[in-house]
Amino acid sequence: MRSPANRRALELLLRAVAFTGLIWLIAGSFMPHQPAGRVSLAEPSRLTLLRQWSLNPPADSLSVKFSTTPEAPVLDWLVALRRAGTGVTWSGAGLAPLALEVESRADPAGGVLVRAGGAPDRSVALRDRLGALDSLRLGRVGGTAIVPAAEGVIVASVHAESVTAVVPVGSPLHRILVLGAAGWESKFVVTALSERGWVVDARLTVAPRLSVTAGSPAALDTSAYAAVIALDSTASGQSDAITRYVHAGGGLILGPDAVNLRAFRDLLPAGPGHAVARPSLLVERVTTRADLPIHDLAPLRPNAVSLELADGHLVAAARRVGGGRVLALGLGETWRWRMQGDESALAAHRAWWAANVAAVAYLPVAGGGKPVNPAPLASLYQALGPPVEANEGASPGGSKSWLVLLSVMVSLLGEWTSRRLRGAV
Amino acid sequence: MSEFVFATAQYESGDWDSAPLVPANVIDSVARYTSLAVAPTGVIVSLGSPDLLRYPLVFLTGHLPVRFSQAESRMLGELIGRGGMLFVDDHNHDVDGVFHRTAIEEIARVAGPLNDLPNDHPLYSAYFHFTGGPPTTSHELNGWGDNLVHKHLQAVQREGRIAVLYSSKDYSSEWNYHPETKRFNSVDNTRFAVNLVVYALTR
Amino acid sequence: MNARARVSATRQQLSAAVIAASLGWGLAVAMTLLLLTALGDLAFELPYELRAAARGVAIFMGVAATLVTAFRSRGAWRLGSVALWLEENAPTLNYALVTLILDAGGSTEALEDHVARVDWRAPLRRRIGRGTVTPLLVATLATGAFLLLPTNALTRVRSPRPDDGFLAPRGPGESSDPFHPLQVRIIPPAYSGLAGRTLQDPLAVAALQGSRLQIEGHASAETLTAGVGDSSLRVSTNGDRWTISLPMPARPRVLTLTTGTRHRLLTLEPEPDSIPQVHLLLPSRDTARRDLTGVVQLDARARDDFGLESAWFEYIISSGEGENFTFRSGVISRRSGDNKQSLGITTALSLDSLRLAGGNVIHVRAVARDRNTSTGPGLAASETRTIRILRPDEGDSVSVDAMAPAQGDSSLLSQRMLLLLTESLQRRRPRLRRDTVIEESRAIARDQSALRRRVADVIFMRLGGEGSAEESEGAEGESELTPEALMRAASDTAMANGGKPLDFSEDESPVVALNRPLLEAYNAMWDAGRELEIGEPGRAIPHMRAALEAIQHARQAERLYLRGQPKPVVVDLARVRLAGKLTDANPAGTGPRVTGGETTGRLLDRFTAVLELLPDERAVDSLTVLRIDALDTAPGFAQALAPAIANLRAGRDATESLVQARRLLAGPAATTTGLPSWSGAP
Repeated sequence: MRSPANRRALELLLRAVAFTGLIWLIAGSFMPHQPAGRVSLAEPSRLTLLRQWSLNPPADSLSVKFSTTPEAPVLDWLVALRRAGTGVTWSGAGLAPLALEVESRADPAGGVLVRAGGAPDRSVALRDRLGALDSLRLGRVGGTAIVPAAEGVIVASVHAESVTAVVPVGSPLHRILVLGAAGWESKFVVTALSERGWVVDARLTVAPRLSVTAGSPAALDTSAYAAVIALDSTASGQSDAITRYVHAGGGLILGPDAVNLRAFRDLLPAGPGHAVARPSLLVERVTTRADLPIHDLAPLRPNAVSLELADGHLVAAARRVGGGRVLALGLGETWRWRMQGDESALAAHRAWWAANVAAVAYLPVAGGGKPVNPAPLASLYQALGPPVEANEGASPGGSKSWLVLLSVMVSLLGEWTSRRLRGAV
Repeated sequence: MSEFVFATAQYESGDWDSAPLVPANVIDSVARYTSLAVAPTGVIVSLGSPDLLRYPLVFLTGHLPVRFSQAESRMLGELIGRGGMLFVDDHNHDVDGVFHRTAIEEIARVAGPLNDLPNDHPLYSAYFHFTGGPPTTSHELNGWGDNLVHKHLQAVQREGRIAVLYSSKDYSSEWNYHPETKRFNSVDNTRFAVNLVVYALTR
Repeated sequence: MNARARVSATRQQLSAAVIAASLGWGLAVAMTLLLLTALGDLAFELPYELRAAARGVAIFMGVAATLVTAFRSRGAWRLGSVALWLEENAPTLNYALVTLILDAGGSTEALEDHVARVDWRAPLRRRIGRGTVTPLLVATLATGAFLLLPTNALTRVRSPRPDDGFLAPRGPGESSDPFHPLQVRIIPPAYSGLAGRTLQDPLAVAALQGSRLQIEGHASAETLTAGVGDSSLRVSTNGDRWTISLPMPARPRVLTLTTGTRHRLLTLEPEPDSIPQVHLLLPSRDTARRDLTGVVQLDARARDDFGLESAWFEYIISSGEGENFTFRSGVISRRSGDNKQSLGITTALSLDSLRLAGGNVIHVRAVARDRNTSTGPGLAASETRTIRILRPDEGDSVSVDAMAPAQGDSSLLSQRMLLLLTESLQRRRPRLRRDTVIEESRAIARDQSALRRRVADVIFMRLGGEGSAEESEGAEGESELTPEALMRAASDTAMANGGKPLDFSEDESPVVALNRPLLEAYNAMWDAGRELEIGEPGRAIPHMRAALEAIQHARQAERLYLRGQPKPVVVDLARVRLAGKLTDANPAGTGPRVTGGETTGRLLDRFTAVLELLPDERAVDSLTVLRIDALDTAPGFAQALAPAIANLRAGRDATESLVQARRLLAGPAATTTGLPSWSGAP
């Protein structure tokens, strides 16, 4: 560059480039740090932004920070963005795991069974469309609530996290069949379940080849009966039909006088067990279930579940047999509890027998109950993987910053060199 | 399995034990005609005692006025409310007599008014069939007491079952004999008791 | 016309103006007050008393304003004052007029001439105008504004009545709801002595059974229909007012009012008149006596909520035995209640007059009747006492008038003391060392054991067995019996007696029956002693309570039964089993059990269905009907629905009350920590 004017022009140009670069670097230091090629947004649960990002991705990758577990539509959108080539990572401290399932109960009194899962010791608030229902405390593996009445949906909440499930529509319940010898136990089992709202057919033996029938006992089929209650040996004559019924999905309850029967041995969840001697001297003063005669059902079969112990004895056990369920009871003369118990015994006896039936009854599949997203946090993990904390130490502009700095240095060096060679100060 | 125990109510105001052989006779009939588990002897239970609730079917008879004490009224209410049944028989067979008048008054106060039981009620076909309603008794036919043959029994019903059954037909006299002498009868006149017990155990 | 005549004429004009102004002001003040009252009534629906008072005040103030105004202008009636006024307003008179009027002397002709030349009609007109226009204008405006008010508002202020509450201040045609407001007048039955009352626009009417209800409203009654259930009611009309009169139904019902597309529900909730309460104080218990003569004191108290009509004693005397009985009955000491709420009756029953014989049984009780004349008199009776007259040949050992407590009864305080000691030990247990707990527990166990042996002695003694009545403190000897052994021994002893009536000498306890409760107490004491021996007072407490309860039962179970226990017949079941002819045994089947009425489940279904309709007005009506239907079976739920219905009708949020109502009906949720191992298990 021989002409001094041109040389000075070049030096000016280099100086301008240097100043421009410096200004760019200073300005960038005041802007939020973002990793190069990333967009961070604290509240991504705005579908409009997601829509915009889908059309015009703001960066090569998205780092999303959640304050609450995102709803299914937001999650689906992020998954779609990822599949379209935009890298999506997420972070969110304090997201509480929460899962919810609601299912119908086989009980004419209605109600639903609510199961909730989450961090232990958390208190989960349950509410429905009308208002607050109750709260349940989660144990190591969750918590359960039997809600007698719920309207519309059930929402489980822990702080800001919530999961919603639609209350299932109650399916029409079939009948119950009671088989046993005529006596106070069979009478009051039929009475209690009828009072609960069940339609009960009964075949009660009074003499050889003579039975009293109540209702319209029909063929044992899951289309007719939700459950069969066999109280004693009089049911053994129908053991084949009962076995087929259970395998087809029906429910069976065996009373303590029926668990010893060979005819039902293949169905038993436990036992046959033995009667437990209890001091009975004149003291037939039964006030609670704990005073009833016990038939210990132990040992438990391998795939059976122990449901209740009394004084260390197994008095209720259940297992699945084919498509159905079998419950064995080891508490006898439960009618005494109803008749001789305190003022709550009448309702308690009724509720206990209703719960026993609910534990095994065949229930046609009903709609609702399964939330669209039963475990939102788990779904988030499944969809987007574990959280990745955003890199907040990156310099502004990322890889561009050092190029600019290099440009500034080269420009300044070039200008100084030119000036020195020219002899200028 | 618990057996059926025939219980006779002991109440404070009258001669509750006026038919001491009825329990054995009824037990004998139940054993003869059914395979129901039954205790070989009856029991006497105080009407005002919580022990009443151990016997869901209770028999009450007498000649003298019936006046329930507060405890008896309360326990009777509990018995009926929990599903039990009281069978009352006028041992006088006299609808103008004090047992009848006082008993129906007390029953109405405790359980509700008595109404005639239709003669096609399931009680009459619960085991044996009694097509004309309750069987007549020899005391009725002999003109004992009020000299009437009562066509109906009376009952207080709760939710489709008999809670209190009242008889003016004097079954207490009809059945008050040692069961050993039954073999001398051409027709067993205690068969209706079997219906009663079977009804109580199955309804 | 001379000056005096002219002044006199002027005075008349001024007086007339003053009267007009006074009246004008009076009217203005009164009408303004009435107008303000009416405006206040339109805004706040003032009560009758306030409106009536306001009318009085308005009239009073109007009169007062008239008088004050007239008094202040009294000068218009005096000639001299008028003359002075003229002088003031017609300066050209130069006091000639006053001089003439006051006859101050001087030449009157000149004065008359001077006065005759002065025309004071203009100031007079101005004065009259100023004085009268303003009050008349105000009065006119106030009156006009008042008359422009709605008719009801005028009526309520102009002629207030105590029963015009249903007249909305906004007159007919302005209210959008023909059934709002309603007025319900309740006329209780005369016997109750209750005063009538009026409810303004209630949602529910609760009143004594037998009351008369008069429901009034303000709407066109041409298309108005009213009914309770399936029964329709007659609607009376009077102008734009309608009235329905009906008796309070015996059971809760819903009154439905319908006109066009509008309807209104009104729940009718009868309050039953409770029957009297009667207590027989004497005799205090059943007795047996040997004497055929003498006197038995009878004493009873009766109470009723609205007053008693009468009370008396009834007796029935039973004579005979076996199958032959005769009966006599009677009434004594009937006393009028004089409509009092509490009454005592006392008399002495003379046994002589009853012509008693041995074996007779007297049943006596007190009876009271209340004043209820509308739904029928309530009749109540006390417990019955039985007085048995012994036959000469009956057990001569029995000479008690009252039932003596069982000998074991003296254990009651001891067992209670032991229980208290044990409970106290259990409370102190966390602070005590283990060996101390065991030591104290065993001390109580020793006392319990001693008490148990005393109970065993009583049982044996009753059965005629040999038994020591002495306690042996802390002695555990060979005489210690297990409960099973005691039972066997007791049974053996009873059988050894051959079932004969038990006989006692006069010195011994008059108890005659095997006492099952005492055996239960013995058993419970045994269990309690076992737990105390191993230092577990907490586990002993339930057994000790059971023992205490059993001892109390023993007291109640003790009854004198003097005719001997019949020998029980034992049926040989094995021999007779199925020995009967079964050919005609044919048990008929029955339909399934029917649980009628409004069960909780049905109510819940209806409630849930209604919730789906909220906040529609139909849902509120359905809730009203549901509440009535639930009054019997679920009163708590029915009660909780009331505020919910009130809130919904007022347009307020009813969520909390509905949630509460649902919780009361369906019960709370049953929660469990952890997931059940079996779906649906209890």
